[in-house]
Amino acid sequence: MHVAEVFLATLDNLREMLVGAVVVLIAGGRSPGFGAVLGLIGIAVALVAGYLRWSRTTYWVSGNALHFRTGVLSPDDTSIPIGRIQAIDAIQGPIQRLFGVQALHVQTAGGGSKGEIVLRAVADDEARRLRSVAGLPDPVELDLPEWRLRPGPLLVAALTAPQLGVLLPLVGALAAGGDNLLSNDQGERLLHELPSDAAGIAVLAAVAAGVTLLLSVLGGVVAFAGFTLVRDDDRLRIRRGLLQRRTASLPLARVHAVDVVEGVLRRPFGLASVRIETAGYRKEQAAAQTVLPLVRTRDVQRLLAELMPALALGGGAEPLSRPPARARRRYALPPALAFALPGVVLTLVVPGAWPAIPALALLGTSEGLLRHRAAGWRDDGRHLVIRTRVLARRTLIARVDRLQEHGTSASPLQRRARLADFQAAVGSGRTGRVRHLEVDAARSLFERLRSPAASR
Amino acid sequence: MLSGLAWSVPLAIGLLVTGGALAGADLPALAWLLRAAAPAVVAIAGVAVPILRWRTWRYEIREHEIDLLHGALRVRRTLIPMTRVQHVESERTVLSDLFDLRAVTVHTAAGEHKVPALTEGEAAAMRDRIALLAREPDVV
Repeated sequence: MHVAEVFLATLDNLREMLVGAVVVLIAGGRSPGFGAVLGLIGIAVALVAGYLRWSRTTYWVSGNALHFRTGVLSPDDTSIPIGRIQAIDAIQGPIQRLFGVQALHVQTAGGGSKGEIVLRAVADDEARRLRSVAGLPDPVELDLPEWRLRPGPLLVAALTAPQLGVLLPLVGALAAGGDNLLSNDQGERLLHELPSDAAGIAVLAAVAAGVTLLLSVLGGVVAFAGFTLVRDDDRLRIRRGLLQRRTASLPLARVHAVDVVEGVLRRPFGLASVRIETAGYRKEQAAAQTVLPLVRTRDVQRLLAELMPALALGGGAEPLSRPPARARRRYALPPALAFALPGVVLTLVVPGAWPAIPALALLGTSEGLLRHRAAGWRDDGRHLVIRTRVLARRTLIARVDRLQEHGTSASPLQRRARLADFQAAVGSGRTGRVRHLEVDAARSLFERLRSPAASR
Repeated sequence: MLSGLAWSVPLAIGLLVTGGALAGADLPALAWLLRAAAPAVVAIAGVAVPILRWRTWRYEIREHEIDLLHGALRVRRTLIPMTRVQHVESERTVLSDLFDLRAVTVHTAAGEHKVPALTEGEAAAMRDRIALLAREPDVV
């Protein structure tokens, strides 16, 4: 193994010692000299341990298998028959880049995305040798179907990303921090210097909003910079990340469905992002993952055909079947009530705010009608398509031969109106659901998806 | 039924206590309303709905699929292809032991489905039959 392994192992050790170090620092009082000595000793111990680990970590190829041994006191041995190696993925973290080496994840059919064997520091020509031993082509020389997120779209993706989930806790933390700040003397002085007129407050709010927006855009850029999706025969490889380059690789057979998400900010521009729904294996978590952070909606089918052929719908974009017009008020009522509720609460606090109730109810009603317009389904024997809208429009395209379950349900009110809901679940646990279909349509869909034994 | 009683009885007691407190606070009408509501809550949520729920439970284990139908008000029907079953387990709790009842849970990659309140024999038969039929695992 390359010498870089010493530093990787040392860093690991330091990370493990961090908690202990903090405890010692707190318990040991405030003598800085003592702390510094302890810190130096810690680093030295970590270095020695890292060196020992490197000297005891070996891998070799013999007897048609790749062997890997690591550990100082009780070494662990792992062997993989060469024939069972499906892929060797390369990843470069900051330290690996510093030393010009790669981390190799040796993938087998049964393994998760992390690799059965992980060689953390391998030089480039050594990696090439291992690949040729395993009979795997060099990824650089192959012309594989590939999709890249270019800088322009990257910026758009970061700008239109639904980062609210990230922003809200941040705003909360800022508010809490502000509270703390304002409760002491300095804070009070600061408070005096704050502008107290409306214009000043508006400027402050605008600055705060601008900073949070900037942070969220930066977050999006860091997460998705250098995003590349490659199909290598029957595996998908996803590379992304600005600081730490992450690579995930998974067999295409495990992709049970894709989710085309058209966010509120993206749909007007004909843009969408695509996520894959994969099934979990034994211990590994099932996962949904973004594979195309930003694409034109009209390109989605072409890209699917190239990268995930089993999930491309093929043919023209036939329209989806839709719930009947008489189901409209059932779609409109729940969001109308849900939207009006904050208005009611506000009115209880500030009676003058009552106009908010009808305004919000109207907004909710229009969202409900849009949900009705977006809802739809289609089944072409191989794929089940289910489209729903909850602000963002999501289209689930699932392989029928991978559906985990499907079913119908109806409340007494729906039964009286001869309507029913239909739902189907894929291996990741994602459930696609269309509400208020004609009961006959729901039933015939239920029957068509039945008897998978016959359809395979 | 037990799970229905488990939350409806405390709620009813709460209603009675609140009713008693309100009677002392010169609100006799409301107090009597709450006292009358208490047995009604137990009767509906603790007895009627669970019985209805139990009476509407249907399941059928066929060669290629598991067909589940249940629900007192909202009626749900679910079909699980046999090849999707990952494992099946029967479980008992202290409470269910009192009545010699078992629940059988079917696990798929997407989630789990629980068939409650089976007799010991039924549960064992169901579990073994599913285990036998789902024996050949599917390529995920």
